[in-house]
Parts: sequence; structure tokens; C-alpha cells
Amino acid sequence: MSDAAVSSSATSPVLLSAVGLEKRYGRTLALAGVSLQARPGEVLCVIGPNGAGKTTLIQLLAGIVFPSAGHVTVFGLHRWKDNFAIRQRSTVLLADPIVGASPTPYEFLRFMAQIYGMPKERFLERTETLAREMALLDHLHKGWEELSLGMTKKAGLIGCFLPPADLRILDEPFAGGIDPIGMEALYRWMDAARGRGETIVFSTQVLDQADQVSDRLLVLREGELVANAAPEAVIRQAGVDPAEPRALARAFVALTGGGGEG
Amino acid sequence: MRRPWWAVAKGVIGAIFSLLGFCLLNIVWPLLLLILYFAGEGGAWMSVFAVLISWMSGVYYAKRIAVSDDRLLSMTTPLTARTYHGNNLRRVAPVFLPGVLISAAGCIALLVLPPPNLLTDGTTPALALNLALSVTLCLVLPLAEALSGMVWTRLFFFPRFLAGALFRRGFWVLTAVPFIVLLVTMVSAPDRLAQWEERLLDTGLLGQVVFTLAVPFGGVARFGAEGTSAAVMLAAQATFLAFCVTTIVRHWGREKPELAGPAFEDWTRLRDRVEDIETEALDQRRQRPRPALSNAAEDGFAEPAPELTEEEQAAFSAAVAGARSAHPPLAYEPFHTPERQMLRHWRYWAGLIGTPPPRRLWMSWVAILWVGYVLVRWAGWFEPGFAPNGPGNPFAVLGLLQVLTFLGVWAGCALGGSILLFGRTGPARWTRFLRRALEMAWRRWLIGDVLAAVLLADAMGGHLESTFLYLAMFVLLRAALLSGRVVYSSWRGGRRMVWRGYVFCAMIFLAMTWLAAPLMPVVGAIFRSEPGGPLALDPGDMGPLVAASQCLLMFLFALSGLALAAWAIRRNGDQVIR
Repeated sequence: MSDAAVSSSATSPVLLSAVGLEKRYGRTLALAGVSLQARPGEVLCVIGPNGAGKTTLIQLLAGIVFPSAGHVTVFGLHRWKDNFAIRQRSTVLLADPIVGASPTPYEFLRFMAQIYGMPKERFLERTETLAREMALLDHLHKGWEELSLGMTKKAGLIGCFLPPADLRILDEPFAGGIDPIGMEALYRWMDAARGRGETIVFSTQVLDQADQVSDRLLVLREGELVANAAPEAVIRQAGVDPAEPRALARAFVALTGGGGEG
Repeated sequence: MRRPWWAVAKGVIGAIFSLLGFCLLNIVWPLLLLILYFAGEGGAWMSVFAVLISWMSGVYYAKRIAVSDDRLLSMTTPLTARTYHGNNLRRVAPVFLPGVLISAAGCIALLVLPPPNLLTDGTTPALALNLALSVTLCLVLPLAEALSGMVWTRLFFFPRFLAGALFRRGFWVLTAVPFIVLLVTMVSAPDRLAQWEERLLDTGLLGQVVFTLAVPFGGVARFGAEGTSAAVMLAAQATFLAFCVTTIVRHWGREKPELAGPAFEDWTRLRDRVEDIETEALDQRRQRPRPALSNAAEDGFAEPAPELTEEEQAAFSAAVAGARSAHPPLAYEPFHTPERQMLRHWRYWAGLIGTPPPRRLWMSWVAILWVGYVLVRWAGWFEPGFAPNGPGNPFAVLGLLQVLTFLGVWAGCALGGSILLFGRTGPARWTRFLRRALEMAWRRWLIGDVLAAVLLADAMGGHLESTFLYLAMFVLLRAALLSGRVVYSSWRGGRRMVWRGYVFCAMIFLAMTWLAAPLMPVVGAIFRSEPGGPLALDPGDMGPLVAASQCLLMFLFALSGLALAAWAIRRNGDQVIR
């Protein structure tokens, strides 16, 4: 993202705001006082070691679980009090795509289009475009058990990018066995969404993807947000030279306290 | 931030509605049955069955909620109840509506039109209404469930100790023990059976024709009218019980049988072809000029197989691939001998017959039969001298009450479930627990077949012989339904479409019954055309004739289902069965 774009987004209104988010599962503290903001056209990437709280943060932002403390506002609305209004303008992709009771990907996508009130022509046109880009067009009418894991994930991704939305929240969109074709398509979709002024929050474990598509990295360590900045700034924050090979990986290890990388 | 008050309030409201539905389904309704039953004739085991059946139905719906991921869909999208139900209606309407319309038309015709010639004596529109409504409910109930999707009762408050105690270990025992008590009661009280038979015969045959027309396979009860000795009955019951136990044990903790598909001949042919290719390739290798014989060969050891060149390996792979491409759906397993494949083949067909029936349809069916049975008894239809057309006949009112109660129960459950589904999130650990517990419970339920057979036989006159006939027919119908599931899922694909396959086949069967029923008088007229001839039958003998015709239809349906299944498997291979 260019500096001009960064500066313009910095002046735009806050679309997503989380303040002091805390989540406890019993005695386990999954998330400890995380605060963040996202503006229109921003792509935020949540990274962190296993168990750092990425999925919990995504679920909190998506309104699936209640926080133990703190609050979230989206579009200036209360995340849970005005949940329905928020859901009308946002899409969510969980790690395991939710396909409901639909027997085929096409039925699932049509159901999604109905849920979001898309016109039929628009649904058909957009589904064809997205499915072709994902190389899923020939598999839309197959049963789920005939599809591979990656194809199911692709269907979930299409369902997430099918309806118009101002906010898209994705948990591990690059995981789940999607092939390079799907990854490239996802990159394009994210770029296009950013160009349309949509906000994307996603989590991943692959730092190359985080570096390529995100404007800002949120680095979690044991439930705490240890970095919240552009990729280069995160690298510098960790004391790593951005010109080094695998600089982001080194920065990640340094910030999250992993061993082996010095 | 704690969960806000309005979320808690919505949850509480949802829980109240869900509790209401649960109570209606599992407490009020069984109690109503109990009261109705004792208003007629006594029999504690019947009430036990009523409670059990109703309770199991409720638990089943709870399981449906627990395993569904529509809950998450409603959390992450602006899914509304209207869209949700509308989508379900659109999906199931083509399957359900014909049957519903046919049944509704039948009800209206029975009420409005003058009775046909065959149904003049002793047939009342009210009785026909009751029975036709029972059949209609068989269709309306799944429809109502489909309309509400999978949002019935989310029993997060279901007591854990109860679920753990009853479902995990002793559930099948709890169902088997009353069944054994029932068998002993029925065998040790032949006088009671004789009494029932007498009362049934007193009602006249035309009433049974109505049963035959309204209730599929109802007329088969007439086959058991001659009675059988107690020793034969005991032996048969013991055999039957052994069958039940072995079936239950067979399904205990096991996965579905290994399904291969009846492509044994094709498989053998393919295997021979591959062996030919292998032999040919080996011969070619052996004809290749070799270096001098090794010491190993001179020592009498086997000659080491020559190495394949890359070209030979590629040619061999291409030949095998070519042979396989002629049988694309066939899973060629070189490690399976033909005998092993035949075993899989046999297990498939054994599984086809022995797999438990579609639960929802069956339990609804059994519950409705039992309700109809209780109502009929309470109304005194089995009592000698009962005048169906007499004043004060409660059938019409009871039939309406039956419909309203059922619909009320389902609507209450749907409403409560909807509020829960669209109103709040749920603790995942409860759903996981319920899913595990209930799945274990519902694997052991061949007893449902037995209950259906016993209750149906009892409702149709109390002949023990009829029980076996019904059971055999249930198994046949189950085979047909399972075949239909295979066929239907091969058409549309998807495990989640399976239940629609059940309904699809049930619809075919019911449609065939309804379509064939008006033909019965025609057949009878043909037989009656030669008075005094060897084939001459009195009008009163039409019951067995109709029953025989229905039996034939059922067998034909089962056979056609199996044939369709074979076709589907040959077409799609193992993938159609999951």
C-alpha cells in the first residue's frame, strides 16, 4: 500500500474498533486486553503462534462469542446489540467453512445470496466470475463429499466474497488446502476489495501472505497484542533489518518469543 | 463485557419456548396418550411405549439441532427466520407437496363425495377422516420439520446425568426390556388376543378396507386371522428376539458396513485384464536378452525379476490406466481377492437389508399409528355394537384435535428453536456432548421396527402373526427406502440430501398405494363376474384381495428400489454410499 493511501486511510473514519477485549475460557485467558482499529480500505492481518488467540480475536470481532471484558463497535454500532445490522454489511469466513444444510456449493452460494438479498442476475454473474477464478466452476453442483478439502474451502471463500460488504472477517483463509490458483484469486479479491474501500481482517500462519496482502500486522502472543503496525514497521520494531532475507519471519520469532532464530 | 441483559432475556425466552415444546412433546403429549388409553382399555406397557416413543422423538430433534451448523450460519450472516424457512420450503416443496395434496384431496373426497360402492356398509366419513388424517400427518410432520429446518429444540438444559445414564449405556436395555415384557404379555394372554380379534371381526370387513386404503399395508392383518399355535409363536418370537439382539450387537460401536457395490463381475473382468497386462509385460521382459545366468539361478534359487525400464513402466501404467478407464466408477483394489470382493459385495446387500430404517419417518409413523390406535379404541370402534354413524361420534373432533396437537407441538418447538437459533449463541460443549450421547443412543434402535410392527399389528386386530408380516414388510420397505436414498443421492449428490431420498421413496410408495387402491374394486368386479366360479369372491372377501395386491405392490416397489440402487451403484461406484 502506498504512503498516500496510508495517509488517506488514516484520516478516514474508524470502521472497526475494539477496546480492551478480553476473553476467558474458564481459567484460561485467551485474549488479554486487545485494542485495535480498522479503517475503510484497510487489510489487517492477525498473526501469532498457535494458541496466541487469533481465532478468539476473529470470533470476537465477528460477534460469534461474547468478550469477558471490553467492547467492539463496527460501523459505529454495538457489535452485539446491533448485531443484525452489522451482519448485513459484513461477511465472515470461519476456519471450517459453514455451509449449512446446503447439499452442493451452488445451493450454498445461492442461499448466501438470498441471505444478503442479492438479485438473481447479480448472484449468477458474480458466482460465475468468482468460481471461474477459483477454478471451482465445474464443481459447483457436486455434493460436498465429492469435493476435496481445498474445494470446500474455496466454496467458503466464494461465499464470503460473493455478497457486497464493507467488512470481511476471515479466519485462516489461506489454510485448508487451497491450491496456488485459489491463493492467487484470493490475493486479487483482497486487492479488489481494498480498492473498493472494504475492510478485511484475516488471520494466517503463513507470513509471506501476511506480508504481501496486508496493510497492518497484528501480532499476538499469549493473548496479548505485541505489535500493531505495517509489516515494515513490525520488522523494525523487532530489531530486524527489513533488507534481510526472511525478515518478517525473524521479526515474528523475536516478537513472539520463539526459539531458534536468535 | 458480560453478556448484556437483552441477550440473556432472549435466551431465557427461547429457553422457555423450547422448554414448552419439550414438555409438550415429551410430557403433555404422552400424558394425553396415557389418559386416552386408560379411558379405553388398560395396559401399562402401552403407556410406556407411548412415553418412550414420544420422548425418543423429542430427543431425536434435539440431536438434529446439536449437530447442525445452521447455528453458526445464523451468527455470521444476516440470516432471518423467514429466509431460513423459506429456503427450506423451496427445497422440499417439490418432494412433499404432491403427497400432501394427494392426501388432502383424499381427505376431502372421503368427506364430501358419497362413499364408493365398496365402502357402503359400516364406513363412515369420520372414520375415514381419522385414518386419512393419520396418513396425511405422515407427510405433514416431515414437512413441518423441513419447514423449520433443524431448529426444533435446543436442549442445552438437558440434564447431563440423565443423558449420560440413559443414552450411553442402558438405553437399548430400557427399550428392550419393555419389548420383552410386551412379548411375554402378548403370548401369555391369548384370551385377550382372541377378544380383540372378535371385536375386530364384529366391525365388518369394509372397515378394514378403509384401513387398507388409508393406511399402507393395513390389510395384511387379515392374513393372520387363522391363528397359529402358541409353540410356533414362541419359537418365532424367540427367533425374532434373537434377530433383534444380534442386529443391535452388530451395530454396536461399529461403523457402517463396508460397502463395495455389486460390481463384482466388472471387477473380476478388470482384474483379469490387468493380470493379462501384467503377464504380457512379464513375458516381454523375459524375452529380453539377458546377461549370463547368475550364480543364484544356478544354485536353484528363483531367477530375480528383470528390472523395468522407464519406457516399459510407462507402457504398463498406461495399459492399466486404459483398462481402468473402461470402468471409471469401479474401485480397483489389487489387494482384494475376488473372494474378498465378493464378501464386500455380500456385506453391502446384507447392510442394505439390515441397516436401521430412517428414524424420523419411522418414529413419526409409529407415533401416529399409536395415536390412531388409541383414538380408535377410546372411541369404542372395537366395542361390539358400536355404531360408527351414531350420534356423538368423536372421530371428527378427535382427528382435528390430533392434527392441531401435532402442529401445535411442532410449531412450539420450531418457535422456541428459532428464537434460540436466531437469538443467541450456545455453549459448544453442550452441543458436543449432546451430539456424542445422542448419536450413541440412536444407533441402537432397531427396536423402533419392532415397536412399529407390534403396535400396527395390535391396532389392526392384535394378531401376533401380523407382527411378523409387518416386520417383514418394514424390512422390505426399509430396503426400498435405503435404495431410494442411494438413488436419490446419486442424482443430486450430497449426504445432506439423504433424508429427502427417504421421503422421495416414501412418497412413491404412498402414491402407488393411493393410485392402486381405486383399482381394487375393478379387480374385484372381474373376479365377481363369474358367480359360482372358482375365482368367485364375496364382496366381503375384498379385504384379503386388497391386502394381497398391496403386498404385491410393496414387493414390486422394493425390488424396483433395489434395481435402481444397483443401477446407481454401477453408475457412480462406491461414492454414492457414505
